[in-house]
Amino acid sequence: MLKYIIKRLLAGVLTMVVLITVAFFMMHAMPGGPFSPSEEKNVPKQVLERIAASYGLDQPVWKQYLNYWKNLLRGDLGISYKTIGTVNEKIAGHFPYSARVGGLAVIFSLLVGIPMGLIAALHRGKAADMATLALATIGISVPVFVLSLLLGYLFSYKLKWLPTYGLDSWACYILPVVCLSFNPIAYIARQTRSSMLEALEQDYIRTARAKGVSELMVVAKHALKNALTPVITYLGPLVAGLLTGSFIVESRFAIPGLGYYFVRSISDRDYTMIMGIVIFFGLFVVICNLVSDILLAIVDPRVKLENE
Amino acid sequence: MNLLEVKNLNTSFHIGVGTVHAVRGISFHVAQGESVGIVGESGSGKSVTMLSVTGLLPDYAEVSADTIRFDGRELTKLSRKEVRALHGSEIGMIFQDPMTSLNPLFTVENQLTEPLKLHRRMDKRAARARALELLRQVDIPNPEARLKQYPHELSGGLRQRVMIAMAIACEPKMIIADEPTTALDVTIQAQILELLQTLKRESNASIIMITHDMGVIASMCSRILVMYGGAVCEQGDVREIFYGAKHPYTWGLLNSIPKVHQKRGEKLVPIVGTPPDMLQPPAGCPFSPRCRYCMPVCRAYMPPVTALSDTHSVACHLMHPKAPKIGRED
Ligand SMILES: Nc1ncnc2c1ncn2[C@@H]1O[C@H](COP(=O)(O)OP(=O)(O)OP(=O)(O)O)[C@@H](O)[C@H]1O
Ligand code: SF4
Ligand SMILES: [Mg+2]
Repeated sequence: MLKYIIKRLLAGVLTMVVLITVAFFMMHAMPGGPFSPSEEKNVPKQVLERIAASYGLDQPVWKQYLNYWKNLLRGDLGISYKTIGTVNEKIAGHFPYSARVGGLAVIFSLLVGIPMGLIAALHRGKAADMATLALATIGISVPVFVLSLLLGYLFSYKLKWLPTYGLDSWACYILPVVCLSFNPIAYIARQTRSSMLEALEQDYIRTARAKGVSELMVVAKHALKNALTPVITYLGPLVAGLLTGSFIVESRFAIPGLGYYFVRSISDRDYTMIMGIVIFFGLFVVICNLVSDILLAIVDPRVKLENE
Repeated sequence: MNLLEVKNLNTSFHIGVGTVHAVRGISFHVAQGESVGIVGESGSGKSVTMLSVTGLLPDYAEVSADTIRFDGRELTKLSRKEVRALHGSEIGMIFQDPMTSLNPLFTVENQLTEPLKLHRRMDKRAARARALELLRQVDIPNPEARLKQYPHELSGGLRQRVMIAMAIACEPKMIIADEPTTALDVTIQAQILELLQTLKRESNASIIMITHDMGVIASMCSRILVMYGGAVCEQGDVREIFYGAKHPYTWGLLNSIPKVHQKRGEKLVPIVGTPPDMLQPPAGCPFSPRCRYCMPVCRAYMPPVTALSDTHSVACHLMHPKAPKIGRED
């Protein structure tokens, strides 16, 4: 187990090196730069060049790349070019907002999606099943920005039940969490439904019944554990995706989260911010996937961690 | 006394394209301590018969019977809960494929102690002790270690032994083994059969052995039910079937057993043709499309059951006094 985790972490480091390199050069390949005249129209050209030089931006890209690594290996992500403070501070400051909304969305998705899928599977072909399938189809096909506009219009503007922006009260969380959860709920419900139906068809279910196990325990113990393994696999990408924040939801509901700042830093050509957030997201994804793989191996003993 | 008595059992499945008449009017009984074999080709309704009797079919199955009497109780009149109380306690079941019949996500201990906790109200320690005893009884070496393992860590033979241990955990009055050896290697098959024979000798349980294999029946059972197309076409004790079979399908089955003196390369005699489509079973004798002795009456009318002795009965129009006298040929 430990050997496996170390191996996976090493693979993760390799992934990160590739990610950092690709991101760095792609970022520099984008037209314009943090202090190019096209960005800052009101500042004289000479001043801009001076600022750029003070950040080492006048050096060749490969030299900048090596410099970046030098700082990075000391844990220093640099200072933001376009906002006040270091990138480390920025990430530490904004991530909690995304994580809080995203974490709630993960919990909400699981709490709604799994029971929905179960109810649908246990009432296969009946009204509850049809309703779930319909909802799941809508949930997968409606884009988040449409949803956030619709819900915002309805509940904040028309009905005035919920606040439109900020995170000052618990009510502020409702709309962003619901928007973020919609898609995952649909996916989890569909996945749970189909894997539950499959589990219920298995021979070991008949064996359990032949032992006199009650119908409730057949479902809740023997079938459910098997049905949830695909959901566990999905947990890694889900947590990684939701906790890192969504630009659409964060900008729509004015949440000062990382998802929002990531996109802003790209349009600002805030190189150090871009790189910092890319690295943070990358690490986060690597760790989430590792944790969900370990979780899966704990639940399903057939999954051999060592051989992967 | 009869432990199990079934009269006029009918089971059908309502599926999209129509109704599958899997079992059509079966009657049989199993005496206390007796071993009965059920043979027949794939799809003849052997499994469905036993699942109907024990109430383990899915909801869309329609089961009706004049009587399903087990140990003095009328199962058709019991509630689901009352029937469930019999499962695993008074009726133990062993299924065909040990690879898929155990839950992959729970340990042997968890699955083996389940019926003990349910029916015997044993606590964890008592159930564990009994589980160890059971694993020894089914000849599993190193039982302490096996208890902690998961099914995928065991070979097919070991898994089937665990299945058997589970079935006999609460010392059932009746054990139903549905092709317990079909999915195993030949050498393992022999070992499992031997184990079943030992268990049979040591207990007073009745055994119903479902199989394709006449050889298995000959070594285990005292009585045989031959099924074809969802009906019993012939039943009798082992001698009556092996030496005095009267039904053309039974002849076919007997001719397909490899013989001791069979020369190498000499082909077994298979029964030509395919089993009937149970969505639209033939109006008359289900075997008529494949029967060498088929007469016009066979296609029109279901053959009546003719009793030849207290134990031996046949459902074939050849038993009619006016029918041609035909004997079994090799
Ligand atoms: N759950 C089900 N739904 C629909 N049809 C079924 C179901 N179970 C069995 N059948 C049908 O009932 C018929 C009898 O099946 P059964 O499983 O009893 O055969 P069998 O004699 O046990 O064969 P095998 O030797 O292959 O196990 C078959 O035609 C089968 O397709
Ligand atoms: S009833 Fe007719 S068709 Fe059926 S087995 Fe007898 S002889 Fe053959
Ligand atoms: Mg079968």
